[in-house]
Formats: sequence, C-alpha cells, structure tokens
Amino acid sequence: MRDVEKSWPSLADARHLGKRIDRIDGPVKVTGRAKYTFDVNRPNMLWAKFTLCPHGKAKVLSVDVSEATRVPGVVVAKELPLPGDATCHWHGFEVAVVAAETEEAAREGARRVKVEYEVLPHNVVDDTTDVGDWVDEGRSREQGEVDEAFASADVTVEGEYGCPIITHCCLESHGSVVEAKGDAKLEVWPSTQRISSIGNDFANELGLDPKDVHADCQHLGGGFGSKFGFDVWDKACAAIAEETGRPVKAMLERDHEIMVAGSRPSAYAKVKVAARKDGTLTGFDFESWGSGGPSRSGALRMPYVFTEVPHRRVHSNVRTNTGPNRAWRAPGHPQMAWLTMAAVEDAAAALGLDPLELFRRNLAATDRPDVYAEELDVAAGLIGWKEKWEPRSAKKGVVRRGLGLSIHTWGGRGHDSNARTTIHSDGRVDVECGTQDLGVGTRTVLAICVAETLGLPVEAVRVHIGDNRLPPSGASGGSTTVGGISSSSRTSAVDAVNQLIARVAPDLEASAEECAAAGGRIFVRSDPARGVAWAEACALIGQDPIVGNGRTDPELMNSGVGGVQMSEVEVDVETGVATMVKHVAVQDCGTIVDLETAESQVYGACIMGITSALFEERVMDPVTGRCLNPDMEFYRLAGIGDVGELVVHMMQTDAHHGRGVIGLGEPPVISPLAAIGNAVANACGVRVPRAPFTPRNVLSALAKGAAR
Amino acid sequence: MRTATAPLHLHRARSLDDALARLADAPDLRPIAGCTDVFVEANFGTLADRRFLDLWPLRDALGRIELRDDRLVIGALATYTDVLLSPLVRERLPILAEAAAAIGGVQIQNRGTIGGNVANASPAGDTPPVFLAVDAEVVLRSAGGERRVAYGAFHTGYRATARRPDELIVAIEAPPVDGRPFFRKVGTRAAQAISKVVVAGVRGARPAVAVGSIAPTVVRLPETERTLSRGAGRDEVREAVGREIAPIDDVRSTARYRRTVTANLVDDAFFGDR
Ligand SMILES: Cc1cc2nc3c(=O)[nH]c(=O)nc-3n(C[C@H](O)[C@H](O)[C@H](O)COP(=O)(O)OP(=O)(O)OC[C@H]3O[C@@H](n4cnc5c(N)ncnc54)[C@H](O)[C@@H]3O)c2cc1C
Repeated sequence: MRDVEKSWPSLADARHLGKRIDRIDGPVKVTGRAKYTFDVNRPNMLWAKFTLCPHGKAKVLSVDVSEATRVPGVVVAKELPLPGDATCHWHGFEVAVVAAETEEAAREGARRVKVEYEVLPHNVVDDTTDVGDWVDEGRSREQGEVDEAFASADVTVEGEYGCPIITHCCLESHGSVVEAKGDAKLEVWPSTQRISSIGNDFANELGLDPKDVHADCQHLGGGFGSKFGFDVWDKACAAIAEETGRPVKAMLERDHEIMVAGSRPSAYAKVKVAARKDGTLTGFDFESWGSGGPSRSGALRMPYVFTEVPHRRVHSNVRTNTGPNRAWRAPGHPQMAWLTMAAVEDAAAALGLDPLELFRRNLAATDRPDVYAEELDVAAGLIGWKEKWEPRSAKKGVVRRGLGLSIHTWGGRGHDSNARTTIHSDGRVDVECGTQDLGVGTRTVLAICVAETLGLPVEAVRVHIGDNRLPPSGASGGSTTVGGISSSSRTSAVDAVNQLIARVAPDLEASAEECAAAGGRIFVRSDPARGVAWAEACALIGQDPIVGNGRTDPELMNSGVGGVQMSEVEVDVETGVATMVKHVAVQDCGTIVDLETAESQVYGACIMGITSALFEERVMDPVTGRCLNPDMEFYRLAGIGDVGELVVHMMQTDAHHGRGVIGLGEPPVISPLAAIGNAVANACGVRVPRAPFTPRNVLSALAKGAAR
Repeated sequence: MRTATAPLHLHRARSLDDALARLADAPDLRPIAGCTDVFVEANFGTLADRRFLDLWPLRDALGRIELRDDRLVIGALATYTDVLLSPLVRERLPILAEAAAAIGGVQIQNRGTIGGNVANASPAGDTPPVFLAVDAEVVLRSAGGERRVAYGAFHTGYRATARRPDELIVAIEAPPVDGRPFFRKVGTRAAQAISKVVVAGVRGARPAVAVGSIAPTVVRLPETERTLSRGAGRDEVREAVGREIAPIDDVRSTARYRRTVTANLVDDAFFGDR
C-alpha cells in the first residue's frame, strides 16, 4: 500500500474532484485584469497590418509599397513571400505587411500599398458538385450487404441535407506580439493552442536556438482548433521585430479573421436509408461532398454512430477559393451527425414512428448501446419528450413547436503532459504545467487535482501555465488537455506529497505507508488525532522545496464518450423565423474533475451549436469570389436572447466516475445542429434541408413542401 | 475606429436657442444625439463630417414624453428606454414601445433616440413605420421658428428628409389612434438585428399599413388599405400587397422573402387569430 495512492479517489471520498467549483480565474477575467495577447502592449511597440487580396484568385504582377512608406508613422512596408505560382488563392490572402507607430497609421499604410493583379478564374460554389473541374471524386467504400439491404427493405427514404462553411469567430482574433531581446533572444506572446512548442517555430523562422525563445500566453480568447498554426502574421511579426529591433504586434481585424483564419468545411449529402417497418435500420447510402477551401475537406465517415448498419459511402471534395479549413471543435463530427441523424429522423417520419423509439431500437448498431439507452432516457425526461412529441402531420397554426434529437460520440484520450508540483517550507504550493487555457478552465482543473491530492483547499494551490519554460505539455486539441493535465498534475502531486509524508512520518512515529494527507493535515490513518497541520509539516522541509514531477498516466484517463441532445424549437411559418425554446444536453466524460466547468463546457458548446444551426454561414459571391459577410453584423452569432432554455446533465455515477478522465471540449458541440434541424423539421412538417435554419431557408422549404 | 478622431470638433449645446443659433451660422454642423448611428459611420470610416453639435445636454428640454391637446408628444431626445418606461406610450401608442423593445440591445436602447431614428431616415429603421401608420407629425425648429411636417411627407428619398440643415427635430407628435394598432419586426435574432421587414399598422374603420425595409423609404400601402377598407378577402389583400411593393435583394434579405413575408404579416394582422 502506498501512502497517497495515484488512483483517483471514489466519488464518495473525493473532497474536490467532481464537485461544483468556481473557476479560479473568474475574478481576473470579469475584472478585466486577465491579460490576453490582445492586451500585451510593449514600450516602443509597432503595429502590423496586412494588405489583402480582394479577388477570389489572382496572380500578383507587382507590389508597390512606396506610397505606404510615405504615410506618417509607417516604419516598415513590404511585400510578403507568395507561393511559387505568385498567386493568391482566396479573398483575404496576405500580400503585403505594413508596420507603423500606431494601429491607424499601419491600417492606412496597408490601404496605400498598390498591387497589380491578374484576376484568374475561381470557384467559391460548394453546395453542388456541378462545378466542372473543381470537384475531385472520392472512392466508394462499402460495409456489409448494402444492395441486398435496399432490395429487401420495407421502406427506403431519400433526402438531401447540407451545411455551409462556417468560421471559428473566436472572441479574440489571431495574432502575436514579438519582441527581439538582443543576443539572439526573442520574447513572444502568441494567441496559441500550443504554448509548449510554438517557440520552436519562431526559433526556426529566425534561425535561433529554441531555448532562446520565450513564449507566453496567459489567457486565450478561444481557439476552437484554429490556433495551432504558425501563421503568416506570426512570421511577419518575427521578421519585423528582428529587422527593427522593436516589439511588433499583429492582431487580425475581424474581416481578415473571418476570411482566412478559420473555417469549418461544408458538408452536403444525398442520403438513402433502408429500414424495416418496425424501425430497424438496415442500410445507408451516402453520396457526400464538401469543401474546405483549396485543400481537402476531409472525408466524412458515415453513418455516424450507427456504424454497424450496412452502408455505402462516397465523398467528393469541392475545391474552392476560400480561406483554408482549420480544425473546428470536433472536426467532421457535427457535419456527420447532421447528415446521418436528419436521414434517420426522416426515415422515422416516413414510417410514422416516434424518432426516439427508432433511435432506441437501433442502439445495437452503435458502440455503446447501454450508455446511449440511459442517456436517451435522461434527456427524454428533461425535455418532456413523451408529453410533447407529436408527429409532423399534427402541426397546425402559425407558430408551431417541434422536437428533435441526435446522439454523438468522441474519443478524448489525454495527450502527453508533464507537470511539476512544488511544496515550499512556508506551506505554499505551486503547480506548473506548459499547457494553455483556451477559456475552458484549465487552471481550475490543475488546482483541483493538486489540492485533492495534497488534502488542501483549492485556493491553496498556485497555478502556473501558458509559458514554454514550464514542463512541456501537449497542444490543446481533440479534447486531449483535461486527460493529460489532470493525470500529470495528479502524479506530480502524489510524488510531492509522498516526499513530504516521508519527512513527517518519523515525527509521528509511523511509517510513511501508515500516513495520509487530508483536511489540511498529515496524520496516521489508523489514529487521525496523531498528526500535524500542513504548515507544521512543511516547516520540516528546510531550504530546498519539495519538487514532485509527474506525467501523463494512462491509468488515470480513458477515452470514448457518448452524449444525447434534444431540442425544442418554435417556427413561425409566416416569417420563417425559428427560435429555440429549450435544448437538453446529456453527456458523459468519465471522471469529472470540476462539475461546474464541465457543465460550462457543455453550455458553451450548445450555444456554439445553436449559433451554427440558426445563423452562421460564410457567404461568398460567385461572381467576384469575395466574402460578403466578413463582419459581425452579417456573420451572425447568437445572443443570449436567442438560445432559449439550456439544460445540461452530466452523467456522474460511480461507474462513469470510475473510468478515468476523458476530454469534454468537443463532444457536446456535435449534436446541436442535428437535434435542432430535426426539431425544425418536426415543427414545420417538412424537412428544411440546408442549415442554417434562417427565415429564408425555412420559408423556401415550406413553399416547396406546400407545392408537393 | 477607422475614422481618425483627433481632427473632429464637438460643440456641446448649452440650450436649444444656442444649438439653433449655431446651426444657423454653420449649416455643415452635424447634430448628434445618442450618436449610435453616427458612431457606426465613424467606425466604418465613412464619416465625412468634421464638426458636431452635441444635443445630449438638451435632454431635459427635448427628452420629455407628454400629452398635449390629446396628442402624444415624444421629445426628439427621448431614448428607447424612456419610451419603454413611459406609461403614456403604453396607453396611447403601445406599438411604439414594441418597436423600442425590438431595437438593438439594452445599450442602444439607453442611448439611441427617437429623433435620431427619424432623422437618420434609414429605410430599415424601426420607428418610422409606427409614425407613418398613425399619421404622426414631425415638429422641426430653426432659429427662424417652428414648422410641422406630416410624417408621410418627411421621408423624401433614400436617407433624405424634409429637414433643412439649420433645423432640428424637436418632437414627433402622434394623434389618438382610431383602431387597434399592430407592429411586427422580422429580424434574424433576438437582439442586434436590423429588420428584414418591419410592418406597423392600424386595424379599424380606416385601416393603415406602413412597411419598412422594402423600399428606399418607409412606405404606406394605400391600395392595400383601400382593399382592406372595402372588406375584401385575404387573397385579394395579399395580391394588393404583392402589386404594391417592389422590394430588392440585398445583404439583409431577398426580394422574394420580403414580398412573401410582408404579405404574410399583413394577412396575419388583419385576418389571423393571433
Ligand atoms: C448595435 C446597433 C444596433 C442598432 N439596432 C437598431 C434597430 O434594431 N433598429 C433601428 O431602427 N435602429 C437601430 N440602430 C440604429 C440607431 O441606434 C437608431 O437609429 C437610433 O435611434 C439613432 O439615434 P441616435 O440618437 O443615436 O442618433 P445619432 O447617431 O446621434 O444621429 C443619427 C442621425 O440623426 C441626426 N439627428 C439626431 N438627432 C437629431 C435631431 N434632434 N434633429 C435633427 N437631426 C438629428 C444626426 O445628425 C444623424 O444624422 C442600431 C445601431 C447600433 C449601433
């Protein structure tokens, strides 16, 4: 038996783990003291702004920066390196950079750069495969006896569904502040999802020793997968900082950000479903396509969740001259969920079945039938499915309500992470980890894991992250952070506290194995009165603090989660306006570290998903190839008045708790689009095939439905 | 902000007379009230003016909402919040409160003024259809005196009004409404959404229908009104609406959407059971 065990305490024994604990950096955030990259201002700093290509595709014939250099305050104006073909492949492609004493002067300078273009043929249309050479057909894949399934089906249902490219729209746009320190040393403040490794890219770019680049990112205004890169703006800042010896700041303007710094691939599909009268799904046939800009959009592995049903799928890639895709929270999954769940719901409607029943009947074709069954029950209870659900045909009146559902899955195994816990002789505790907080509560998770292990209050632990001098930790993507950092911090704290116990035990006339740390004391397990307070124990430490090192531990984490979401919407069939009434999210994620920040993740994901379902769409002009809505008036996000009532239920039983920590950032954003799309179909009585479910899309679906 | 602010000059009005005297001297002086529209121009870098006259200090005099000779008088500097909190508005012209509640968000409602919304003359503005539907009057004053313009004659073209550069809007006056008024705004989300279509009207012996966001100015639909007043059926009314409006496609909506939804809203207002 160990003094303090590595394994997570049970739900009953845990003091902090799994409880509702306020985010420890809440106060610095709400008081505006938290410093984001956007807030970093260095003495004598220059601002950098970019000249962007105004065409869908164009060859750069010449760049003349002379007028820009004459703008008062402009210090540097220069052409940026272009690809080998000297061609800009999308509207917003960076052609030149201007650095100036003020943001306004830099902006003015960037406007004065004269670029001569030869405009080339482009394509920005992706909602059809009828785009000539711009489409690359994929290979067909098949699992099971698909033709037979369709030949012997009681019903086959066909539908076409889709969702457009949407952008990341992080609250804080992308950018960096870079400062050359002399002696070939560099200080950088990037807004990044990978603080431990981004310094190496800056070092490579300037030919420096990676050890001489210090990267710092204390707070990040969101990334959602769009901030892994070492981007044009980072490189430009580095080059200008080196050239001028002055700090340089580049933060993307909102239009620039919407056009180039993030996009989620579109996805469209013609779907056929074969089913038996009782609702058993027997076959799927997907003909899908989508675009992620000039590069590939990534195949869609459908059917989603109901993977055991025999199926055929083929995915084509449509190349468009739009800003390239970046990973968007649960890459591919929201699209796959929508294309699959919409077809399943339409099959239920065609069979005259309640889709909840049909989902239940087909759980055997999923990875985790029992979990889904339980979660479907919980969600149905929370939204009142039994009392409220009516078939499409029953809907009457001007304002109609409807219900819809979707289920989803995600991996979420922790990444490689290192952490260090230090206990000082005055009782102070520090935990250090080279991770980053995208706004999700990373600091709070570290404090909880260490406090739980040391038997201290959460406030007793000081957390240090966001710095590449700390023990390296992985990039925050794929919901890998919480598993990585909870296990590395836990093992580092176990190491530290066991060293402390080893020093204290002799004074307690016990062996280390007989001692425990809890309630701010170190004591003998069999005789808790025999013990010392934390401060007293630490006084024994002496001058050199106790340092505990830890790293990712597979036994403390796991992978594979499920979730069910149900939506209730109201559709005004005269105006086409769809509004959220209620949205229920039921989610498991193994051992929950902080119930409050876990719930917050799910709330945030639901809001992001509702936004994508009702509002978001990057609109491109087919004639000029330009983005028509690169601003927040026309690239619309939901406001608090648009999200309706949100209900979040985390699965927190002994069985779930006992699984180990699993990532949560992504899974809950997968189902909203599908659940809302199905609710809209149920309310309208006809399928609205294309997201977002804007008044126009809803009305035109209703008109088509009426004509039929 | 894309407009440099350093060269801008602001004069704070000390009194209405002071404001009018300054306007008489310098017709290029641009009045600002809540500044919520002007600020947007500054942010886009399209603000051409350099000299501004701040009317906000006149809120005591021009921000009142009161009843005069049975007419509801809304001071030009009354904010949407003032409108929302006014029991008089609730009683006499509840659709103005409905319009105010649908505008921007709370911050905009606290700053944005009725006079600003009317003077700004955006075809998508939310209060003009209300004033047009109830036959309100715009009260204008200059150093030379006061005059009144019927609301229907105030908006003369796209963002053009009957206001002379030396005049200020001091109030909007609404006569008692004969019938049951209605207001419907179709935006894209609960707050901060400019209208795709906005309709106000009066159901009664003399039906009135005013529509915003479908033409260069807010418009009345006289043929539709005549069709309604002779008691025609819903199909005929829808047809009349269809004949009478010629909306365009733009960034906020399509012509087809606007045409269909305007007809739906009129239909719903006069024939629906909502
Ligand atoms: C985020 C946001 C959301 C918005 N949402 C809406 C909305 O939903 N619906 C809507 O209709 N509008 C909306 N607006 C526009 C705006 O808020 C309103 O038009 C508002 O009423 C303008 O009033 P103001 O006092 O701020 O005008 P200002 O910006 O001060 O002035 C607007 C114009 O009117 C002139 N002016 C102002 N007062 C007078 C006066 N007394 N006499 C003569 N001229 C005058 C000014 O010279 C200027 O040309 C929104 C604006 C923003 C920024």
